[in-house]
Amino acid sequence: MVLLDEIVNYLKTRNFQCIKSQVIEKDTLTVSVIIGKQKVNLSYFYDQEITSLPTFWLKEPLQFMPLAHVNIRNISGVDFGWICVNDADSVSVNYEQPLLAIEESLIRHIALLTKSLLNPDWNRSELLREFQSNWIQLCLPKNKQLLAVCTDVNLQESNVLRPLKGSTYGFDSYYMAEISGSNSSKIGVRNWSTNIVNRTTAGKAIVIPLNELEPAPFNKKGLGEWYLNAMENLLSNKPELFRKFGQWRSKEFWLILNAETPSGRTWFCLHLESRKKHSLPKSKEALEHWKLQVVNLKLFNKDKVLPRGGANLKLAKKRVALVGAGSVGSEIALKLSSAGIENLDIYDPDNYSLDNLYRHVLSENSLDFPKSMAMSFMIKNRLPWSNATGFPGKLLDLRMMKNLKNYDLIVVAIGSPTHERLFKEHLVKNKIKVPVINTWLEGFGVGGHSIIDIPDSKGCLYCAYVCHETFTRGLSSNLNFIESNQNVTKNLAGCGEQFISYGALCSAQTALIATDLAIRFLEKRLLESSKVSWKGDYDDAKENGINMTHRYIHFNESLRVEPLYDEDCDVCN
Amino acid sequence: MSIRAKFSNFHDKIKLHREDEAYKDARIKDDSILADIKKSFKDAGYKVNDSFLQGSFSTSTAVKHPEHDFDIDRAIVISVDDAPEDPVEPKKKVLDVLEKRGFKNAKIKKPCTTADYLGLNLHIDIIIYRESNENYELAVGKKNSSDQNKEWSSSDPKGLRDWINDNSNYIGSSNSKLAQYKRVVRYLKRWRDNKFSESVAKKIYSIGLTIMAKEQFMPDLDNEGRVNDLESLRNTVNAMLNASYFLSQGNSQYEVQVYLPKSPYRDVFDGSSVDTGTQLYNKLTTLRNKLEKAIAEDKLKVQCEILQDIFGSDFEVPESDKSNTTKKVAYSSAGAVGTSQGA
Repeated sequence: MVLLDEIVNYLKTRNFQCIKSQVIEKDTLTVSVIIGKQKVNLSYFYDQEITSLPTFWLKEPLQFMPLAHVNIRNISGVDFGWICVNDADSVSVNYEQPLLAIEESLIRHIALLTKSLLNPDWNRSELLREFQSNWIQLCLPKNKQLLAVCTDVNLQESNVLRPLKGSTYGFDSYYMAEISGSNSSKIGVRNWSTNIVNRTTAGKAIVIPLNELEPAPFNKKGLGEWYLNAMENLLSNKPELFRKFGQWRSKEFWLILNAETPSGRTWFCLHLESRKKHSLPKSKEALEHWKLQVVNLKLFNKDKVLPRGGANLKLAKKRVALVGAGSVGSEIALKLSSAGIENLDIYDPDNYSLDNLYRHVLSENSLDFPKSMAMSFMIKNRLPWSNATGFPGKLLDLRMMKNLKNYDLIVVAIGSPTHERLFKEHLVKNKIKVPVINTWLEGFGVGGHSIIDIPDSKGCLYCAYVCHETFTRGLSSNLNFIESNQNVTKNLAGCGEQFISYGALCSAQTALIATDLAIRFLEKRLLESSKVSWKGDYDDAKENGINMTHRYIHFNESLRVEPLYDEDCDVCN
Repeated sequence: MSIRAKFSNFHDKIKLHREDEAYKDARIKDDSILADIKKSFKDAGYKVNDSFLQGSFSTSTAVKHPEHDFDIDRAIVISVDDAPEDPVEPKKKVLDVLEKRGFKNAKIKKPCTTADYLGLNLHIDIIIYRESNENYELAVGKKNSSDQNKEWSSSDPKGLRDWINDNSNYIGSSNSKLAQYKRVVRYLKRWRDNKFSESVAKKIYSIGLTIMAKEQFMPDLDNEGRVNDLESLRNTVNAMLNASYFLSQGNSQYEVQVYLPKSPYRDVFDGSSVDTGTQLYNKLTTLRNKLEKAIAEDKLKVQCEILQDIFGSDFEVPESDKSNTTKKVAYSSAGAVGTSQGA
């Protein structure tokens, strides 16, 4: 790292006005710039190592506030403005040329301050856009955290429940309020109702929509003023609203406020606590009875939580059957549910065994329990809106079902070509038009495959079974990477104990390509029957004397979705 | 249906296996002749150690001839310790058995004893070896050959068979590529039987075509593993023409030389005329050119017409030009196949 003197000298050569000094007992570089007619001082606390974009702190910031992208931080009793020039992780810093890094950072800091100070409209708009972030800045780590389900922006009330005693982590450690939309939340059913007897009421939650929103206060001192201003606006714009909730009396109010911002509707919470029951304060005098605290509100709405995690709300109502809850199927179940599919029926006739442990998503807690049901419990516990259900059936048992076509998709992950072809035959014979994904992997980590057979589009399961030598219906898939009729199983304990050698990575990879096909199809981004494979390496197979197919040798299209149709398929022609 | 599938259908029509129904009578005859020979040899004091099929049945390259008889190439192996000094002696025993069973034209040729069974359109060649520690010697000599022209000559019939059946040089789908090679051999044999006069076709020895095709075989599978026999045949024929089998004699005349890859490493076409070599070269060139034309053609019907001209009516021409004419369901001929599929 360069010395502070070198930094000062360098910046001077770049025409910055800067001095070296001691600020809060730290070696500091302070740069003075004129923005508009104001002198702005920026301090850089010298550090031996640059690990992120160097920070220049705004000195005496209160004279400039409120400023967008500037937060007040108190360091050793002195207020500084922390300027958010970039998400720290999104910048790759040239630590090998620290002088350049420092100069670049300084330029960015000055540019942002210039825009905030000289363009008030932009400054206000940005303050509103980042309202929620600024609001949370006022929240100390020890402050209350409220998990609320609320889909209705309009005035309403509900009780707030305290955390379970002794809980430090998880839902049990949160205050909770289910204000509206309870039917859409499975977690409401499981956590609210099961724990409600153990939770005590903490006070009243009131949802209040704000017509006009002022930027969040930049420190706690401004909280009361901000509140009174918000109430005043409400009183003049929607007096009937205020009249209604203004009559409610309590020692504790949880105001769940919402308003439109340039970045969409924002939700935030203010907690008011008093020694005696009062109605909500409307004046400075009345406010003196109350202690105000910003609450870290986590809105637990499906329409917020799912998209934030990358799930698609449109998939919620799709009905999907997954046959096979083995190492591949279990991964698919989890990923389909994570994608937002709520109605997943999982079929598997087997119980979970110790053999599965290292390549399955279930834990040892599920040993000897039916895999399908264990999966549904696990998924529902993890993904609150999932309605995954387990059934102890086999693929061929589905032939007895009369409502197969009610499924939007059936995913088959059993690795049994005989049963898969029999099931396809059943669908063809009975003219049941239901889309089916078949997925399987091959031993020794050489790869895995998925196909989707979409009725009324070109290509079907049989296309993946056309023998490419005789052009008849083959018995093993033409996608396979390992030549047929070889001993690919390992046997450690005798008959019935053979297994194909592959690891969790292979099953996860195979599940990924199958799930990708499923989601693309359900989102209507895939309209034609398709196939996709991933190719692993050959080392383990080679060591075991396994012969590979021509397709494996020449395959360079890993993860690429291609048409399934084969012109020599007797069903498609 | 694709041209690939058309080739597959054609191959199904021309292929001949020892287990085929069409071959049933010949197979029964072969079995009973073998039993008679074994008894005759036993009576003569030389025990039969082994017997095996030689030729196209042992390598799955046999084809149905459009008109003519079935062939049996039966090798009989006796022990060196029991074998008579005179290699023609056991061949005479064979001749005796064949004559007693009503075979016509039974005679002892230099490498074998041969006869025809007219009622069954059956032509049989019995080859006698003596063997010690898997070293084989062929009984060479005619009925009245002088001692100088009779010998037990070193030979490696099983080595030749294994060489033809070897797939170790094919990387990826090696069994499929070996099977494609064998189909190419069958196509070449059917082409020979269709395009040469009977007298010349007899001189275009199957083993010669088999060796040339093996040495020059160009497998052709697309990246999905679909076999393309048309491309493979064209490329293999092209390689055969460009290899060193045809020795120019000037004036567009050629002598053909193809050496056995195994003992006794002799030239299969030793003694063949320049006319045979020239006809083979010219017709192979025409074959290559017609295959090129078929490949360049994008209409299935026209492709099939070209191929029917090459191979005869067993190569069917569809009524429609469309490549996706309705395909009848055809099931796998295997009862079960081991797969690597799991989940």
